[in-house]
Amino acid sequence: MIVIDPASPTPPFEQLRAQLVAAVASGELAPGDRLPTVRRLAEELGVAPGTVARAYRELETAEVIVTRGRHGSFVSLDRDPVLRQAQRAAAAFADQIRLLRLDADEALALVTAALHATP
Amino acid sequence: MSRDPVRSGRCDPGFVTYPVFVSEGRLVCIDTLIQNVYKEDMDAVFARTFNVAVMSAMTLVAIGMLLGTLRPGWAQGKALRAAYRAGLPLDGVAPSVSRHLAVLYRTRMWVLLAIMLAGIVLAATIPAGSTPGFSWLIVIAILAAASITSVIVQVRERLFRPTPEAVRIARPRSMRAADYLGGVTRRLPYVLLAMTFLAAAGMTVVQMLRSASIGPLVAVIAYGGLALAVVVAVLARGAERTVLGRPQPASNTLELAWDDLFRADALLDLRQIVAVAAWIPLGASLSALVMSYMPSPQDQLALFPWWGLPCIMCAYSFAAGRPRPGIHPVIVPKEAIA
Repeated sequence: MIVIDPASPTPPFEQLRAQLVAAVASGELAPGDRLPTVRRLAEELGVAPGTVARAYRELETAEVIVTRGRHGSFVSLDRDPVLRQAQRAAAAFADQIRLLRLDADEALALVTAALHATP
Repeated sequence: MSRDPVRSGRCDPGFVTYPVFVSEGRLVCIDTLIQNVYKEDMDAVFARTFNVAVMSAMTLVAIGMLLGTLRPGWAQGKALRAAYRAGLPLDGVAPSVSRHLAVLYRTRMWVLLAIMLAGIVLAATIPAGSTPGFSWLIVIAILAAASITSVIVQVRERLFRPTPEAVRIARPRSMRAADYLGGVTRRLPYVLLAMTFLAAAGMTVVQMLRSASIGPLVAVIAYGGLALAVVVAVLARGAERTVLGRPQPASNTLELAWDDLFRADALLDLRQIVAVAAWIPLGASLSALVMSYMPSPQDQLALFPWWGLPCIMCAYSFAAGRPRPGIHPVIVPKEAIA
């Protein structure tokens, strides 16, 4: 279930994106499942269609979902699109660490601290 | 004149009877209606009077029910009964649910009243009005109108209108009819439709093998009814897509559950009318097939096409108003969501 709280400091598109990723990760959304249309989901969540479209676009870029023209958007058939997205983020992080000339232990400490920090 | 079609060489003109197969000089009749059961004491005038009386009684019932829906407190009582049947609480949603039920039932009663009045006029004037089966045709018209009304009310009426600052919830995936309907109610229309195709094909084969000709009415019911059933199935699929594509604004899972309940009922109504449309030609084809080999139990077989209607109506009525366990969301209070 997607819950959008207008009073939250997190922007609605980010709330939606994160919850769709969580739904895929938890199995609530199975590979091949069809997502609601942008207009319908926007009306249900009381947000602008552009907000939903932006969340969908980002998920498409991350290959969590695929859009098949007028047929709509579907959860990627990839076995674990969330894990793939995490691997891509980790690779980007590793590149940044190399540019900053930090060693692996420092990088891992930073990641651990970030993961344990309150969001 | 003999009432035996074999001896008389043709169907009894006193009743509306129709030849099914003409084979080897033998004429087998099918009574499409129930008059064979009562043929000793029932004639066309009686049947017409009976139809007008039944329609008039049903009109009075419709007027009574319409007046009942206008009573203050009727909708609240209906909402309580719906909540009890569905096992859904009414906390905070009672006004919206009552309003929706009031609109739905008032619209249905107006439509029922219009059909009944048209039925009285038709029963009193057209030739088919003198057949007992006319009442069944009106029943089918009522079922079709109920389906259309459910879809229109479901699509036009917004059950809940959360405020802009309210928390909103939504399902992350597009829902399908399979999410709302049980296996039997979901598949029955299409199973019947497939059986109707087979029965019509079987009737055609028998007709060719036995060099027999199908009576005009049976041909109309079997082949025309099959074509109509296919059209109804296609239209119903379109209506289902419209119902499923309608947004469900909700600020908690209880609101979503109620919206799902009404949505499921609209889908059930649509599947029911497809099942009914498929059943009539199936019953006629099967009766004609059996009668072509065993002409003796004509009276019972003549009624066969109508037998299925109450069964179909019961199957769908029992399923209505109950959410499927899989779709029933965990009821979470607003505070917990926020």
